[in-house]
Amino acid sequence: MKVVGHKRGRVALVCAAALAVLATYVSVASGAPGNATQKRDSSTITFLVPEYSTKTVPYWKDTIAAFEKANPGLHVTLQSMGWQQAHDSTAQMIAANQLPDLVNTATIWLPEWVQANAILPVTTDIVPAAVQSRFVPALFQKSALYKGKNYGLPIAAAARGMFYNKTLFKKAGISKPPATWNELLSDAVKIKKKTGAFGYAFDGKGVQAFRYFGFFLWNNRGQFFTSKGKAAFNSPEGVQALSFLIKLTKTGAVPNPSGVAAEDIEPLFLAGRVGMWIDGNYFATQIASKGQGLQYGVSPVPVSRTGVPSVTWGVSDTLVIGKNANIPVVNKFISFIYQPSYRTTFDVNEGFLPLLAAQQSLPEFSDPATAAFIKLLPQSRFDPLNPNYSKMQTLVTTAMQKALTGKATPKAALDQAAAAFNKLAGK
Amino acid sequence: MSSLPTPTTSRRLAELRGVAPFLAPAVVLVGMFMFYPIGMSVWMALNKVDQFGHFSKFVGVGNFTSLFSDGDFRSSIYRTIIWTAAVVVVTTLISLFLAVVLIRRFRFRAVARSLLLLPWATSLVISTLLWQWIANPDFGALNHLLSSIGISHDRIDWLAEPSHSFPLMIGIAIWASIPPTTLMLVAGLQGIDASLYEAGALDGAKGWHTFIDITVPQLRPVLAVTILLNVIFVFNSFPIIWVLTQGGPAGQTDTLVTYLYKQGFQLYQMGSAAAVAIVIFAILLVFSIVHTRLSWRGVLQEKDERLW
Amino acid sequence: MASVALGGVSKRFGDTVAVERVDLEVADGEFLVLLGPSGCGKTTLLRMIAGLEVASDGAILIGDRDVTRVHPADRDVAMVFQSYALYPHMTVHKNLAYGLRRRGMPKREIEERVAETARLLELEPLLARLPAQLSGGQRQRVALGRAIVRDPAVFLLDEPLSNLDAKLRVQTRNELIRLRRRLAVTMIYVTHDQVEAMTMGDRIVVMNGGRVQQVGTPLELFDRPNNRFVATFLGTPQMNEIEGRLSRASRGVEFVAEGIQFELPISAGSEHPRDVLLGIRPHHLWAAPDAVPGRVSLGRGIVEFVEHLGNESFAYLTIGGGQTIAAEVEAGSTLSVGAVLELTTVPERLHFFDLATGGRLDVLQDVGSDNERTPVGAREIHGEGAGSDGDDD
Ligand SMILES: Nc1ncnc2c1ncn2[C@@H]1O[C@H](COP(=O)(O)OP(=O)(O)O)[C@@H](O)[C@H]1O
Ligand SMILES: [Mg+2]
Repeated sequence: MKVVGHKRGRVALVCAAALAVLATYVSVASGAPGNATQKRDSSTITFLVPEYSTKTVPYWKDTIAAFEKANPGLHVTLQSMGWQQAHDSTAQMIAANQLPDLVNTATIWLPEWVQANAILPVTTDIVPAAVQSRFVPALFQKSALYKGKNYGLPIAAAARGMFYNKTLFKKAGISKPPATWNELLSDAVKIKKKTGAFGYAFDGKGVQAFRYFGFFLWNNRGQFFTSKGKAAFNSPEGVQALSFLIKLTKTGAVPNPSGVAAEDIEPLFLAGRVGMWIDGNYFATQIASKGQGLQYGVSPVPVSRTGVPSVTWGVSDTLVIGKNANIPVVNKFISFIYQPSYRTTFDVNEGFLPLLAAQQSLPEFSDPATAAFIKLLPQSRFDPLNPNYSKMQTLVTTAMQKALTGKATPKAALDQAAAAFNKLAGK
Repeated sequence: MSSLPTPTTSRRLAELRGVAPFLAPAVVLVGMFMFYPIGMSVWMALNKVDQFGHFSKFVGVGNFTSLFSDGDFRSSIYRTIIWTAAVVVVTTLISLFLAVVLIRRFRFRAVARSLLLLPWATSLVISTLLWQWIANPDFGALNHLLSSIGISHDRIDWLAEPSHSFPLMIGIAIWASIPPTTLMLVAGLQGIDASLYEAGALDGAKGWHTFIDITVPQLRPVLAVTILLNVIFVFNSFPIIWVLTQGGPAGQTDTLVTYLYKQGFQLYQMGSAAAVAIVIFAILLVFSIVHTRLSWRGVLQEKDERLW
Repeated sequence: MASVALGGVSKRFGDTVAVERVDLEVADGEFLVLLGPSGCGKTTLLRMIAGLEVASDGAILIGDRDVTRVHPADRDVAMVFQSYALYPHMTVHKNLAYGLRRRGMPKREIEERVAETARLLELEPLLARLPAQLSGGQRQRVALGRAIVRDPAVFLLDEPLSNLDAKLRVQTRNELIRLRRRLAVTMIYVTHDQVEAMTMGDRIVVMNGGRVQQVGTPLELFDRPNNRFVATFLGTPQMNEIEGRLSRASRGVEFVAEGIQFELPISAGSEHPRDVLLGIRPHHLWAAPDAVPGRVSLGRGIVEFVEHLGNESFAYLTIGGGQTIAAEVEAGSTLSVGAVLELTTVPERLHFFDLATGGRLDVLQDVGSDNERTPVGAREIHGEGAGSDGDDD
């Protein structure tokens, strides 16, 4: 009797355990392919946007309402997320095979989405030739080009330049913004000495930190990657760039880069306590609203020595098309939103530069700062498309911090990062 | 020797048979939400896995050997232990003091209690952002305070130097851990039989002796639980460090959790991140076992209870 | 050892008056029992003596020292709590030693005292155990030991036996009595159990509603209760109460109630006639088929039911006015319900109380002398109830 009871108890337990495992399998199994084969409503698409500002979501709601009014029977479901989560959310959606029809994404992530086989290249089915021809040609053709195919449409464009405080320049007796590294260094020191304000500032801590090395790398004829996608940032050009940043920091004319991110430097510049700072054209919008009459100018990023071509780091975000997209509706929606009036509202709201040829002459883009940036556009270079781009960001930022805190020489730090990158990228 | 089960064993088995149907749902849930993820993590730690969850290669203990050959990882372990020990020890001492004060009746006790709960009013991320602002070298209240009371007029860059930022973050973690800890200890103090204090008073105990001879031993089970929970929470605490320094500069303020995050979500080494998680799990498991052995020794007897 | 004196001690908790103007003197070495129903303020009074409550009014003296505002630690009193309040995290040995350690006694002396106390209370085999590993009776002995070991000036006990089962309670009670004789220490003992009070106390303080009702030796309280409360609170079964009227009669005074009428051969006092409450303990009321000559008859009653307590039996009878009263019958007698019995008593055992105030009326002072009790038919009437020891041959 005892034995029987004993056995039955064990059987019950085993059953319970088996049930647990089974339940898990069922939930996992129904999680993935179940949604992939889910039948979709042929008149509806989903659109995922990151929030550039508080104006982003209302703008898209209005635009979608206008679209649905103009196309009765079609529906667009809007999803939004913060930029902070944008990458990981998108990756998770891809992993779950639930990527929306259209996604406003950062251009640098394109290779990842392409590698994951999650997005479609642009064809005339998706973007009619007539719509394609509305763009500034360079922007449409260059910014989303990866492995010979165009993987999306530019949806936001900006350029970066060096903002300088004219009042501080005047106090320090500097007549024009620096064009070379040497001038940058001596002007920064002058500002610090004569005004007490920081001469120059850069982000050595935040998500943008690697760019503040990149500006110097590119303006010293350096590259982040070789043509085969291997690390190139540890080239002599890169070592010179990082060494220069250290030299600049050691003058004391720069706030400790390990302690400040872009979000910390922007208010400092707005308060008139930083002489020079590289930022995107959207920063001009902030100065206009919070700068309290700050006198500033915009100039190209200084080059290592005269004769080196100046490069501006352009910014573009891309509208990509999910691999399961509802093409007919997507086609209509794209044609609708890339009309100059909608684009201009968006650009003005968010402080972006015009994408469409028809926008360039509009009065909305005629103020001096915007004009200066539109002038810089031809020199702009975009984020290189490399599937391991974000790994490079982390590794380069760490290398910068190592060198800046004296834990390694610039060369050792960059070499170590390059070796790690090549290993992670499987090169 | 008979092969029949001993009376106790057979009774236990009979009990088990009786409770099995009631146990089953719990077993299913625990299986789904604990053992499955734990099993997955272990399996991931033995593979190369990308950010999309694709298992590309079985690497055995490869992830672990490369982790332990990374000096930054090893110093993260060391730093996490310092971080946890400092936060938990100081939090426990301060909270114990506060709890003892707060169970007394005094004017404004209600005010004092609600002030104490203030750090709890918002999420840790929000209050850490507040601290970031306080620690801002140019506009923050901290430097302003230091210069107005004449301690230092320098522009102290709190978050740039690990020697400043790490202690500051430990301080913030203590500040954030005090409310729940104090609350638990207050509950524990209120649970102490008042007649013990009276017996103590008649036996000649006053003040400090009452605390040491009655309060502390009676609070031991609650103290043990708060310490265990705090160690687990603090060891795994992410927001403070992530918001303030992201473990930087150059990983010099990384703890295991921020290190894990970087491995998993910046370098997309999911297998390696899972290996870090296993290391964290192992450390906490060992700690929990040792802690439980030491701190509960005698307590169960004292309560006249037995673990089955 | 020390005497204890309370002068006008009161304790108020907000609007509740727990103890009201208590005056009390406890002699050095006396065993005083505080007795009263639950909630009457016994514990509060004891705690004030211990220093665990501060008196709202009045003064407390231990020996010659005014300790009204002295910390409990400095009063040299020990207390045995109802819940025992043993330190759960300390072994029996440590529980015993703690009070001595706190008082800075040398270690060797502590060991001696603990060993001695443990021997006295037979705790030696338990010294290494924790309180949770002890039975109720053992815990009780440890609580006792913790007080004894300190050799305090005053020993306070708050219902120390109430958590024990009946058998253990009697056993421990006897142990306590023995112990008390050996220690000869001043003890104040709280209980709501009259048997404990009667068997243990040198004197008993009966309390009700925060006030002292009567202080006296057990026999004084039993034989000459000050008021209705004391009279009915002591003695089981409870004293019978009959409302009636006392008035002058031909041979003394006459008591008249519904269906009852008898005369007492005493000279009437000045205040007759008056409304009174007649109290008769069931032990002092005898119910039998025939009247016993020479006793006062209360008339006849009809048996409703009979209660056999083993060595004594009581019948509950309906009397003339429809009231039910209890009376002793022959032990083990087989009376049927409905039987009619004659109720008789002796005048010395009657108590009269003022109907309005409940205060004792000394109507019978003239019957015999105050203190010398008349052993009329005592054997039959008393059975073996409490308070009978005075009648032993
Ligand atoms: N701490 C207290 N707060 C309020 N009322 C109390 C407190 N202690 C006792 N009392 C009240 O005082 C009265 C006497 O209580 P107590 O001395 O415990 O009675 P006893 O011990 O005779 O049962 C009761 O009415 C009780 O409710
Ligand atoms: Mg009581």
